[in-house]
Amino acid sequence: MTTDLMNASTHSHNYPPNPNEIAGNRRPARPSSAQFRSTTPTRNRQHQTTTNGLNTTAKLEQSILRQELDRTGMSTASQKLNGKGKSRLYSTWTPLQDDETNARLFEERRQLLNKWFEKWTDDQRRAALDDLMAQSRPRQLTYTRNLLTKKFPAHHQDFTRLFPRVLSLYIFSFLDPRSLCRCAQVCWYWKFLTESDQIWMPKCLRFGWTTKQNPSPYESNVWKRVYSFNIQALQTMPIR
Amino acid sequence: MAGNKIKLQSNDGDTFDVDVEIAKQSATIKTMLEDLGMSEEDDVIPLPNVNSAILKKVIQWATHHKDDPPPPEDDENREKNLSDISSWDQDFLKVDQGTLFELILAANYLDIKGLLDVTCKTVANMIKGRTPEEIRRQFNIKNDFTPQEEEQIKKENEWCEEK
Repeated sequence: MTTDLMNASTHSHNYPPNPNEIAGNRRPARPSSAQFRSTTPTRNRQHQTTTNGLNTTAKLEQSILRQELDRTGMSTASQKLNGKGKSRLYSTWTPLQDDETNARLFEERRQLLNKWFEKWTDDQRRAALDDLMAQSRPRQLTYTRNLLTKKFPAHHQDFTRLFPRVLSLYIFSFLDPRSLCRCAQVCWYWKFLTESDQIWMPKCLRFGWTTKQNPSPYESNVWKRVYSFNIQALQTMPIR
Repeated sequence: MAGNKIKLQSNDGDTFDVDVEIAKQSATIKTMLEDLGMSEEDDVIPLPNVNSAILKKVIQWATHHKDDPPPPEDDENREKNLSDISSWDQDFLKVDQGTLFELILAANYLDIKGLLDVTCKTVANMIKGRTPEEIRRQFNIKNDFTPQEEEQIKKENEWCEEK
């Protein structure tokens, strides 16, 4: 199996032969000012594009390719060529004009990648994923994140940060006093929410407990104290 | 009027055909239809706050509950009702936390009291009877008290614990 794959890959590497030999099949070079300015010989530059394309899209093929090109020279040259690459029609690694062949070649390589990935151990897969992530653009990372959140939705979120306050209070209003007291010990914001008068006032009024005097509007969590005071008074009474 | 349908459109563009009577469980939609005089015929009601996965769930819920009596007005004793969630609703709400929270937001926006209550009760049930640490873990909350503050607040709330 492995040998098959290796053969297949070697084959696809030879697929675009020396670009100069089938010049007619290459996508027309766009006359960019960078190109005119560049002093690199044409042949060399075309070669570099191809290599670099392989390098950025399918790292695994790089080791087989073994081009003795200076890496730094390669990347600067390709930056010149692809500097304004956003409107590129073709990715650099399939330097053929023929859509159909391009698609087939891409499909083959993708399958190859998948087959290899399938055989790898967990550690190897992680390493490969690290590489892929490292060279992904923000747009692809966003895509990946969306895929992941679809598959593994965040299971643990603080709803009080998500909802308008009125909704959080509505949820807390279903809780009994003991649960509310425990919520108050979770964090400052939960303490603030679960000690609101809106939650404790109805609980007091149900038993007819009221505040001694009208609380000033600047005083907060009055009603929780009213509740606590009355409950503790009850607890000290003998149980019949 | 029975059998009339309206079209509801989610924020990602999907359109759902829904019986008017089912859709009217949403007070928001009911108001749109009755007070604003939107025609029921071919108008699409856009719901910019609801995505299609959630809208689908909401419609599923509303369809199952279409013959329910109108939900009772708020009584002040909500604590008692915390556990009365029908088994159908319990199954319906066996979803991840994110979906549950989105359902709450949708029920709030669409003003469907029955759905809002049952979803909020489900969240309340995730809190009830848990320790502060368990609650933090359940909702991924960071403890921002200092140890001294934590001790102090624990003392303040001791009256509520069983002795």
